[in-house]
Amino acid sequence: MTGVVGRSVESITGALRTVFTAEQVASADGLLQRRDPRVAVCSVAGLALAVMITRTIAVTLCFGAVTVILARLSAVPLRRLLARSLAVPLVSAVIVLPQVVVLPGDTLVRAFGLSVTVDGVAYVVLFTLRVGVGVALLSLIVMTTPFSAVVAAMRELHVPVALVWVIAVTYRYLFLFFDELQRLVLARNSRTTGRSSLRGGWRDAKRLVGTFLLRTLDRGERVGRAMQARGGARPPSPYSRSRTVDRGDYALVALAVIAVVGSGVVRWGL
Amino acid sequence: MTRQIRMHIPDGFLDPWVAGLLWLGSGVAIGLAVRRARDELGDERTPLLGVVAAGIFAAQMLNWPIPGGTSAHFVGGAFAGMLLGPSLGVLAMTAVVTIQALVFGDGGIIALGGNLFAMAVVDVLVGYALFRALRGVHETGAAFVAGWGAITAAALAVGVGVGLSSAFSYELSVTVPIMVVGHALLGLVEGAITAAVYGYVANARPDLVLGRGDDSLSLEVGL
Repeated sequence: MTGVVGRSVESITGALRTVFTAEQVASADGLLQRRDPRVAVCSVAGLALAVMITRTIAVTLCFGAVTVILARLSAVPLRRLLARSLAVPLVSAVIVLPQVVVLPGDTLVRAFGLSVTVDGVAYVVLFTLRVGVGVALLSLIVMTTPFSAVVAAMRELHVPVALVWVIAVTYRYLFLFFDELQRLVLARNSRTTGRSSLRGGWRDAKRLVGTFLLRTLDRGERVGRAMQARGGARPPSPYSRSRTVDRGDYALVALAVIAVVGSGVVRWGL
Repeated sequence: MTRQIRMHIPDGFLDPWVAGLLWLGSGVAIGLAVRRARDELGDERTPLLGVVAAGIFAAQMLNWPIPGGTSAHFVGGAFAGMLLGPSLGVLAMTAVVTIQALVFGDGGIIALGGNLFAMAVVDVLVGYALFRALRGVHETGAAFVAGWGAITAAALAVGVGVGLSSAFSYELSVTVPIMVVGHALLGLVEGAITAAVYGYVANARPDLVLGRGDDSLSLEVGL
């Protein structure tokens, strides 16, 4: 089983590399790493909201600069942040590119009988920048806040405990299952030669996923029996941690609030 | 070249008010699912659902070959609904989509509500409803239609969300047909994968199949 199905190993390895890289940065000593996870998540969400509100290139560039400054203060390598944040805005730019000739406005340049308008170009630049800054802000959270801290923050923000538990257990078992699936694919690969046909590839993938899901269900049954044997009790919150909010946390919240209000004022006025 | 059937909306595509409405819609649906699941599961069995969700997440990593040398990935929302039932399916996919966003950086923070609405609510509930309605006619066929219809309906939800947003320059008359037609075609792959995986699991463990026992995973599994 070589070819497309066999290359799943690369997908799994790529996903694992992404997570391990992020965890490495998250363990560094930086501004966002030192913040209370509730504050970090809510403040970065506030900054993302401010970016979504704005319709001005200059304001979007300011938020881009704030994102870069936060990344530098949080020991996030800019190349890594850029690498994570580049693909989505580029694809988004391609999606809205026709607007350079569709949107009415003053003609910037004429080519092939089409008029590229100033408004069209401005829209594509603004849209791409907004998506880019939005993706960079999400990447910032991913790279500076360990997911266990995010899960703890969810509980402290009163997300229902049953849901927090499902998310926590999903995350806990995810890497075990990545490893199991990777071993299944490698084991099949090592016993097969030649390229498989489309039909053969589907047969292989069906068996792989079927076998894998059955193993998952078996593991679920074992976990269930083990938990019942222990009485089924669970602590009130997974990854629970108590932390006091400090001045730095208040400053970050203030920055987010100012960003949202400021963005609204620039767009709609007072 | 790998082509993933993904519909994560990044930040920047939705207006804040549309994102807020989608957060509200997914919040209500997930809240109802949590309430029903609490009754169905009991406290000690809740973590088991996470194990199954992790399995579905990992299964998404496998490349399925499609003509032209490219590949597609399993999304699994309809399969989750068929295997777990509507409430637990919604919770499982909520865990998957949340981890995709906050661990792998797929989608956006503000757009997370929209992504949850499309992939954890619409995908699961439509898949479950189609499978339940059609399984009496032909089980594997129902699984195919569920996978195909669910992904197309989720794409419709995304198309409406971005079409209503002034931040995205294309209007509903453009976004809805493009998303629906595009995903109706790509959804054939999701339908085929759902039917293939369902057939395999149903043959090996008929006790798990919706409607043959309970309306969710068997009591033996404990969900």
